[in-house]
Amino acid sequence: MVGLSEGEKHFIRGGITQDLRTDGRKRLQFRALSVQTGVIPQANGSARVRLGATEIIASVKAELGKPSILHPDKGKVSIFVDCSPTAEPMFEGRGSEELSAELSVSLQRCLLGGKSGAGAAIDLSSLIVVEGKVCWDLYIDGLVVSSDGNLLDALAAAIKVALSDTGIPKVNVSVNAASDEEPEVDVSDEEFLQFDTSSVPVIITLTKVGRHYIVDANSEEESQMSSAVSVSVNRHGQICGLTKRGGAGLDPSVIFDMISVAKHVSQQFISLLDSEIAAAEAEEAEC
Amino acid sequence: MSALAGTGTYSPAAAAGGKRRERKEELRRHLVEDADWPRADGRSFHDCRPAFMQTGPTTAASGSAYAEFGKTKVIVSVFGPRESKKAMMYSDVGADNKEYSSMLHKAFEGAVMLHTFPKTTVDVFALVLESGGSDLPIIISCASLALADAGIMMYDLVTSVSVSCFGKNIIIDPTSDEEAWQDGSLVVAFMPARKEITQLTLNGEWSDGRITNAVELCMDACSKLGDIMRDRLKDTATLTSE
Amino acid sequence: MEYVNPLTGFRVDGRRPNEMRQLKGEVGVVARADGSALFEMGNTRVIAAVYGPREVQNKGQQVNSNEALVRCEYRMAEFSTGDRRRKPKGDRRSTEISLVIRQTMEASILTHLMPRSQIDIYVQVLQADGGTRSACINAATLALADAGIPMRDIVTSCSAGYLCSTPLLDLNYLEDSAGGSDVTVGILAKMDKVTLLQMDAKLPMDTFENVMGLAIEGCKAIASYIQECMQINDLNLSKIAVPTMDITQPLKSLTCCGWMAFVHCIAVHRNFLGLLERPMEYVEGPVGLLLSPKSRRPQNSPSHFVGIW
Repeated sequence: MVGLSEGEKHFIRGGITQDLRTDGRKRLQFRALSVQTGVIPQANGSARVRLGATEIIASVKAELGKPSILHPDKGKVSIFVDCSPTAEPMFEGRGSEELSAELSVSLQRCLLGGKSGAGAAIDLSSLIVVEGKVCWDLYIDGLVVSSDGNLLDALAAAIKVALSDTGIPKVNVSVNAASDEEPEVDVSDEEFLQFDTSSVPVIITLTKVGRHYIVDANSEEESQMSSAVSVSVNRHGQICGLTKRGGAGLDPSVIFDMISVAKHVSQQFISLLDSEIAAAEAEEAEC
Repeated sequence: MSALAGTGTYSPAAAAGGKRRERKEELRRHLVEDADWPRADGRSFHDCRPAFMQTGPTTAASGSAYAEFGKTKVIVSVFGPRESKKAMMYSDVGADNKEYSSMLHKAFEGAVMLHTFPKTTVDVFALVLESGGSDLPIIISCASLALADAGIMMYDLVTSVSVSCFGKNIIIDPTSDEEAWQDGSLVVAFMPARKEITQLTLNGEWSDGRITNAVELCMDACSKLGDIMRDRLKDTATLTSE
Repeated sequence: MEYVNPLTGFRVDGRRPNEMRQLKGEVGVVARADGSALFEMGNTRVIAAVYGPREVQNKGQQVNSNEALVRCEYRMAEFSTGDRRRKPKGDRRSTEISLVIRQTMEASILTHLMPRSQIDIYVQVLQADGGTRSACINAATLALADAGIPMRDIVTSCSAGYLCSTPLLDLNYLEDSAGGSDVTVGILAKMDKVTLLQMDAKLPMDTFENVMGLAIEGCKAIASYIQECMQINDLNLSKIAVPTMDITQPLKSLTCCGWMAFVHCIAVHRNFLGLLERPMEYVEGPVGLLLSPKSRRPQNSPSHFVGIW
């Protein structure tokens, strides 16, 4: 991790108070975002997102499986995050397990909605093939290649881009199967169903340093934080998930304030991300 | 769950699952639509379950506590401060559940005064004897009682409560049946005397106004729970001094 | 299955038997690492990151305190293969490949110049389509060069196989799983020495010589590509006016010298540098290859480069 001297810590905190961070950004300004789709040809959808020096590769793979008994009309989605040791030497061996588990859980909470399935980012009923017997299982994998703070935001953005790049193959079910047997499914190689990702939320992490909040902290600023709140907001301005990290306790009014700031910032971020996705897809279509 | 003695093949699981699901869907529909529907155990939407808490069930541990909220029963034991090679560590081992362990850890990070016992470890073991809904908040509250019983210095007791949202209605302290069909949930860990939130997690779709209502409801319930816990600790203290 | 078409002589993916897949190398992909590289051989994509030389973390692992400790970890991403792998790390194949890469790179790194320190090489496979071992070694070479770790020579690796009575260079996954033999060779390019040799299945002796010769040629082709890659990154810097000083007296205060005849010092101001921050020079000679150490000082200070041979 970063070792900072007292002078550097003082400099970072002072800068944030004066709305001028060490790399010249304002408190509520994001780093340069660059997006590439289709980086993993073997997957159904993939994306590579760079937010400053943080780099994430996300891939979406779809496999046929059986739906759960409690929800026979819905498909299944699972999200896993892996931190590569190329990002930090301490992620070697089992060092990254705790962080990976924490990130996976936060993402699942934000993107999969409540237990009844309301508020989920992806419409799970669109993943069903034969009700009660065959459905699509989506495996979303995020890989942290390079880490410089704000992993959760970058992961959520990468997953959103990967989902917009995902094509689920069309399945033809043979009609004459008896009701008890496993139906025959024929997975077509030609036609694909694209996902509608307009309801996929983004995550904005607000880091509190001193008395002010900053957006998109790099790892030096993160080491100085007292607490951080990650808010997941979708395009309609609704909150889809919230996680508080960091040890210090927060006054409830501060949390409400952070939520409103996050909502405000998220609208800009969503439009930025959408324009990047459109640009990336246009580029891919040209190749 | 009655077994179906039909002419077809005997498959109790599928049939039972179906019946359970139907009942739950009906329950959910009621909770979404009526604001006054009495819940399965007769509470209104904004009532918590009656709490029974006691300290000292595990005599071998430095501190322990037992909590029973309706059908949820939890025991937490605290061992420490013990000598350890790592300085000022704080480890939790939940009952096989990594997610709950890390949340428990975070909820207490801001409350426990780690600097008062350097180079030692405090181990918190939480065991859920019966899960009847709203497990994590009850574990957190029980753990702070256990830490207080062990004499670990803290800034304040940490109490915790969860709410579920169903359509437009918010119900507090859900049971496992209600949790299975919720549209969203919010868990708050609160320090009543300092009026600070140490942990807040939310999932599902919420609008701004509803979050404010829900958080205020939780803080209110947490303060009441905090009073109950303090009474328990005072009783234990007076008992031992006699 | 016809791996080599008898009429046209083309392989499954349209290559000739002695044709390698398309190579692509990129340096400096992971900002936080001391050195990093992305290497692609066809559809196989690998990222390597090097952290070091730095203080030894675990004193128990250090065997010889007069030499640097070289450690390596090989990981495959969950989405790297066709079927999604559930346990991409810690399995036996990963451990074996980590060991192989470590031994190969250790043979080339001048470990006696950095006593009591450790060098970590982390290799992450993003996409696997045959020849991952070779791609990892090539990526690790580029990353070590980017980090400025002194090496004897560049290490390159390539694989070759024998299917349908033809030696084939650079097998992809389909050809690799066909059941024929697979020979992986790693060489020190300029010194013309073999550091890695592995083979599966069995081959008659003379066929083996042909296949191994083909693999070595592949390695040499990769070596020239890697040199080109390093020169391209170097070119960004040669346009900047760089003051040079000639010091003919040995400077005992510098860490990397035990003995030297000649020292060049080049001071480069970090702010002017584009993509790659350090100039890289590689010199041929008895010691071989020495590259500049990467400066880890904060942004606005000049970094010093010492090259010795």
